[in-house]
Amino acid sequence: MRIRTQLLAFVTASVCTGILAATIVFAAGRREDAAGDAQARAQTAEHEVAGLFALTQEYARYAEPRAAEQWRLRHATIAAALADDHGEVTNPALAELRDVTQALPALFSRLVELPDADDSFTVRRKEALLDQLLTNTQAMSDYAYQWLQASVAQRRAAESEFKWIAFSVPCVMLVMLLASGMVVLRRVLLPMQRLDRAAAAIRRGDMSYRLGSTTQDEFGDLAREFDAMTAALQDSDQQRDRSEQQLRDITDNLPALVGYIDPEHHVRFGNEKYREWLGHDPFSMVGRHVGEVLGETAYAAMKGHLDKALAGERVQWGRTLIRNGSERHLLSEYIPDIDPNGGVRGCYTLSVDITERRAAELEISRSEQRMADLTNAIPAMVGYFDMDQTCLYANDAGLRSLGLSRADIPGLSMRTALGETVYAQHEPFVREALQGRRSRLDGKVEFADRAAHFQAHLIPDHSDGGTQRGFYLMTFDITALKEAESRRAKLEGQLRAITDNLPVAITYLDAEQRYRFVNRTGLEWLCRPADEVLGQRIGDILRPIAYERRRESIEAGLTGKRVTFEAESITGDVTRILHYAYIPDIESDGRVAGLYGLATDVSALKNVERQLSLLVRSDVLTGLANRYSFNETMPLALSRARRAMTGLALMYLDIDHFKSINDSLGHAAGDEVLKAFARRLQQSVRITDTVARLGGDEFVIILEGVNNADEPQIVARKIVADVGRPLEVQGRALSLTTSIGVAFRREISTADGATAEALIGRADAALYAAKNAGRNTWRVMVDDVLLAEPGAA
Amino acid sequence: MNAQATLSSRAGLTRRALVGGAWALAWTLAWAGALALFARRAEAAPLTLEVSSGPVSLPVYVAEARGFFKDEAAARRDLAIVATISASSYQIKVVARRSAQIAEAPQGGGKRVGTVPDSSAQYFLDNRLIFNDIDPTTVKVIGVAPDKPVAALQAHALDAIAIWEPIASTAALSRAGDAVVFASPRVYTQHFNLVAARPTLAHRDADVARVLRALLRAQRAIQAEPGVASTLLADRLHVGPTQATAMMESEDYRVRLDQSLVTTMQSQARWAVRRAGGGRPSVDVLRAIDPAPLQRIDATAVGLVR
Repeated sequence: MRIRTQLLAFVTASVCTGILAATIVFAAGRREDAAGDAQARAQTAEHEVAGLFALTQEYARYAEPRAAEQWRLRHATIAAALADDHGEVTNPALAELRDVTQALPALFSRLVELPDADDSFTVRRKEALLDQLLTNTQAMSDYAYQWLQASVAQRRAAESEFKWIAFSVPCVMLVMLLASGMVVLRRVLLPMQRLDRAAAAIRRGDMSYRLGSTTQDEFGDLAREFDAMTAALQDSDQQRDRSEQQLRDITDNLPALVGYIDPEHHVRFGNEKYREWLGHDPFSMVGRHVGEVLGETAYAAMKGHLDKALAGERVQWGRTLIRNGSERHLLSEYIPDIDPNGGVRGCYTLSVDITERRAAELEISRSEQRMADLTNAIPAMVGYFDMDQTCLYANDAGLRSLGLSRADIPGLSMRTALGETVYAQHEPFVREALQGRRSRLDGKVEFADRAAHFQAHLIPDHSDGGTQRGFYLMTFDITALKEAESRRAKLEGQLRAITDNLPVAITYLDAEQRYRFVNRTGLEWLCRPADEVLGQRIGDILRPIAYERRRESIEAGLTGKRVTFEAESITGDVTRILHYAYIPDIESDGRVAGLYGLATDVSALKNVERQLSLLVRSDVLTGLANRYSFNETMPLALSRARRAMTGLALMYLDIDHFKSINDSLGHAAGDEVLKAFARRLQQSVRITDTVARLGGDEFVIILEGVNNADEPQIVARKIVADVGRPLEVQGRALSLTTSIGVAFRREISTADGATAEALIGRADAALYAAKNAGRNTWRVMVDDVLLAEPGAA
Repeated sequence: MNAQATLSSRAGLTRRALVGGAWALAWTLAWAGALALFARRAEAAPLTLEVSSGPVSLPVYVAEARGFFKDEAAARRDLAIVATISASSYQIKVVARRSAQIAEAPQGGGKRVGTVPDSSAQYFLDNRLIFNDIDPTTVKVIGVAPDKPVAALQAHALDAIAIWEPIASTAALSRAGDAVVFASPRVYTQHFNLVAARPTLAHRDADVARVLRALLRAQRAIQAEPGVASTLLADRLHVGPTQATAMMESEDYRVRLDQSLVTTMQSQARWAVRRAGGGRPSVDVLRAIDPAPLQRIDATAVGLVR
């Protein structure tokens, strides 16, 4: 609970308790007074009733009107006493007393009104009324006594209650006071004591002191606020310490002496460089006089400057000192520390060792001189212009060519320097240069007897930050170059006229395989105009398959090899066989700049060659392969069988008794038989098998891809059967037979027995065996073993 | 069961009561010796209270209903007037039939008035008549048993009755608009007393004291919780709550012994003697009262002048 709420509750409770206590005391007092009053009235009533009783008896005895009158007066007094009870004190006795008091006058009146007679009824009536009066009066006395007793008891009770309340109320108030005191002690005084202790700790510098209160009241809030402030203060101190340390770290790591001197010339701060450079402990310097720290000589040198700085003037001065045995140059700057009111609180001193900087400046000066010498030495005019096109530098060649001296440079504009004509040629390129772009122009200056050509380069100059400061103008005299180019162009025209009229396609490809020259014959064969070809890569001009046939040769040529080859060229509906020669264009440094391509159309020659080849490899009579062709084919078949790891069979066969046919029917009939025999052989074998006529009636068949000895025997059986079919020659039916020797090798290796000659020898041996077996049959030699009979494999 | 505390049904001592009381006294004395012999054993015997079935018995009802007798371990042993437990000036009423042309009080001329003969009701009737200047001898008083007056009044066998509560209220209610209840001029205050045999008082004063304490507690309970007492009274008398409350308001439920009891008894004694045809009575009714037990318990409750 909040202290304010709690205290408010206590105050409210105290006020309420006080009011309640006052009310209770007042009420108790009222009750006590009422009880006393009731007691007094009861006493009065009792006394009066006693008198009434006596008057009743007196009247009964004497019947005097005086007694009756006194009876009534006394009764009235009693009735008044009973009526005046204020309703404060009631009890049954009082109620009964009132009741009987109220009833009594009627009885008394009946008694008074009795006739003065002595008849028995009257006597009896008098006696009865007297009995009732006395009895009721006695009852009144009893009730009055009881009322008095009750009143006394009530008064005693009220007194006792008042005493108890009078004792209790101060006790309650005391308890509440003690409770309030406890609350104030626990909720206010003790927290305040803790706050005092915390404040004392903070004053002692103990920033880590925390109250750590968790109480949810004003002091709890205050304690937390105090803790937060202490934490903030601690953070601030730590931050200040860190800032100081950072400042010290920064100044310690600056390549300068950093210090602070107050108006009395006492040192207030010095960085670590004082220790490093001058051997002074920066901490022990603090508070000491400058002269005491640095020595009187140094102080005397700096005092004047120091006084100026302490007068509010910023001072910069240089000095020389010996450090580590070498002479060092220091540039010192004194900066006044001015307070907001304009007063000088001291000055900062900053001394930088500029020994290296001076050396660097000297070196730059030398470098600039060397650069000037260099620019003066090159055969070009070199100038430098700022962004206003004002000349800041020109080399000797430039000054010479423009008829100027170095003294003319300050304030010299580019327009003035170049003259209007030449400047007009430069102007568009100058704008480019001023916008940060490099530019180049080729210009011409006309003289009376000649013209001079120049090439000017304008190069923007940027600072390290990227800001353009101006531009360089570098102008070369290219008159000689231009004249050489003119001569070369003329020569090129003559050369092109020659090449365009040669029946040879002449091209030049650069290192990137781009067409740089194509003569008219080449363009005709490409069926394209020059502008579509020149500058394009050969791979983009030729069909992909055509380029792929040439690619290796082109690449070889670009490596410096001379390459010749033939390739087919199809242009439109014209197919040409071209003979190419790629000749590398090798520079003087050995680099291949490109290659020359010479293509000659050799299509006619190739046709002749093809026809001759066909003639050389065919048997004229039968159209089969001749011995020359067989000799070419047989090694190739062996190679294929060896690579495919398959078997190969060679058949050697002739026509039985061919000589007798020749002799009997003539050579013409013999030729017919040979042609028919050849056809039947070709029809008996696969199209991939080779049938050749070696001469006369000797034929051979090469069977490739044979897996076992049965397969050539199947072919041999078919040949024997086909040859044996009837044949009509010159109107005569002939019956031919043939004998076949078969040499079969399961595998073809380089070992003996797998050569063409060896196979022919074995086939011939097998043919001999077939002849001996009676002709019209075949024999097989598997590897080196001759099978006894056909189908014996 | 040898000891017996008798609560007189009518506190007023009629002649019969006086005779009965003398007989009871003798009888009690005769039993005193025997009681002495068995006193120890009788100590543990229960005490029986005979009470009237009326509002006058409310303290006994309350003490019984609230367990005060059990608390006090009331024992049974009897005789003598020990205390008045209730008193009322309006306990006995005259109820008349309006149709009988009785205006204020039973008139002469042969009106038939029923009452319990020789009882406090008849004593009240006589005083009531005399108060109204009517000679009781001119009224035809017809004796009826206590349970008969209502039926007789309804049957027009009587013109009026003088009877105590709750019979009076019952009669008035039963007659509805035809009934007239005459206001009482406080001509008689009826005391309802606790009477015990003196030997009992002598030997069992502790038991009597417990009974008295129980009745005093009942008195305080009635004063503190009149509603509860009224409900109890209605239950016991089988009357409505309004009727019960009205009865309670006419009763003084305080356990006491006052001097007015003596004067009332003296007057009743004279009335009884006169009715018997005798001279002035010489009965000292004070001797019939033993205030000691009540005085020991609550001295303020005793107002007798001896």
